[in-house]
Amino acid sequence: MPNIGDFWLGYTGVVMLTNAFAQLKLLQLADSALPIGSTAHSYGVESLVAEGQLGVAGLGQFMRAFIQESGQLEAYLANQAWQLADATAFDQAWLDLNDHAAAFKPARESRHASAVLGRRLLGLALQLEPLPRWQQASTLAQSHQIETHHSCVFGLVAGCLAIEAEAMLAALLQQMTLSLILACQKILPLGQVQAQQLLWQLHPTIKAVVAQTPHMMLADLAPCSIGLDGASMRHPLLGTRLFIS
Amino acid sequence: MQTATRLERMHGHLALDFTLKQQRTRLTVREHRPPLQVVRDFGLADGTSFVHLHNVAGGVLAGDQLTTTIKLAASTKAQLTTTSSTRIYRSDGEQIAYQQVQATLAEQSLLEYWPDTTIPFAESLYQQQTRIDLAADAGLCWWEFLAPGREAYGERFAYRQLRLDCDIYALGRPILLDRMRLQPSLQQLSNPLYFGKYSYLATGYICRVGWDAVQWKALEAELMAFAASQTKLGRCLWGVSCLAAHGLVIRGLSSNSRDLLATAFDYWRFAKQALYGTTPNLPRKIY
Repeated sequence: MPNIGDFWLGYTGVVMLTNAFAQLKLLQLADSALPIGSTAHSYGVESLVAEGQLGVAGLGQFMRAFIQESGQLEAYLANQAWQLADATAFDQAWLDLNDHAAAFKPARESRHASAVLGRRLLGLALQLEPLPRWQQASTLAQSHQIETHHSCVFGLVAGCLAIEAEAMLAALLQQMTLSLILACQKILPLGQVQAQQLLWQLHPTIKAVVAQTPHMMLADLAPCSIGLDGASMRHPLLGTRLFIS
Repeated sequence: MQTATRLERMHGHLALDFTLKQQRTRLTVREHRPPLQVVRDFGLADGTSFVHLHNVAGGVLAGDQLTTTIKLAASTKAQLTTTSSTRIYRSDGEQIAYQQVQATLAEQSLLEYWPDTTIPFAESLYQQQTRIDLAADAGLCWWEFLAPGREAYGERFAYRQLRLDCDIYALGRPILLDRMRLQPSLQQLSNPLYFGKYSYLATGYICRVGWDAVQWKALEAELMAFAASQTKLGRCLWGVSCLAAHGLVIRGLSSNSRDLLATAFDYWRFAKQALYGTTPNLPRKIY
């Protein structure tokens, strides 16, 4: 058995880590300060605020629904990718998963944001630790000219680091939620303590989505965010924008 | 006796094949089982086969399983519409009203689908699954319109559950998996993540396989400018976006159905001109 801090590199690139060391890596990868640009996108929230559809009063309810709908989709994708970490039939499954990720996102701007974050995360991960599976994922994406989406990359990276699926999913949803709350802080009168309270109050919703995810099948997925999708589609038309279009 | 057990459940089926004969598209109804019917096909001046789909039951009842398959042969053109709104009747138990549509478009074919509004009655349970497969250079204009219920009766989001899926594949790869599950008792649909202040939904899918990303971006910009001109806060919101490839999606939310129905056709008018250099025929209805 390895000692704390030891690791073993298998032929697929799966690194066996002690739990604490794996958690440390997860903390780093899920940190909102990770330089992949996760706070540069509002996924349509900026339009909803500009149109007067979303304010501080309704933010808790909005975020709860966001986690249940969009969060459930991203959790599903990440969980599927996590399972590919040591899969023998990797290539087609990885391409298909990213195809599905793109197809589930009707708004170009949000889809593009997901692809940019995924590409940057995979690039960063390869610079931190060039595992063969990550390299394989990157090479495949380039050769087939597909985008690698953030949740897919996050799940694959975590899987290769032997981070438990449950912890990975919780961290992904926490990061996603925090990024959107941070975006809201820039465009709504939302204080720092209020923002942290909001995030804290959303933990039961995150927990419920994490618990449900292993039982989800592709056919079960029906993430509804028609209002947010439409707002994301209208975002490029906003006269003044803080977030990327 | 409960309504659901008193009524005979229908396993309706409609199989429509469109083929090319002497430069005109002809319809063959391969199979039809009640309550689904085709009124007849009309040949339009440009060779398109124009078809009215008819549900003689007037709507979909709990327990009904209705399936429609549509096949367009290479270079055919078809336009489908419905004879009236699709009413989704109440379900007393757990019986779901179910409709499935499967459309397969061969090379260089074009399908335009202009249904009337789907109206889910109070207490209804409904699932609609649509799958569209597009071959090389196949084109699509597909709309769906959804009401919150029978507003004249005071019904607004009084249905129990709607599950609406539209999966579009081009050359075997998914380009859009547009799915939603609406459960007013569990989701607060006035949340801006869903409908916000609005209650009617229109979704349009416009595709032509093989058009490159630059061309789609240009069309998106043109349609977005039109969408901006039609968006009126508090009354109607529109959004347009390129899909991952081969098409774009249009989404409208409105406080009434008229704004959506009238404007939807204008999007297709712009898009068909850009994609095919022609003007579409509007189904003969009052919009």
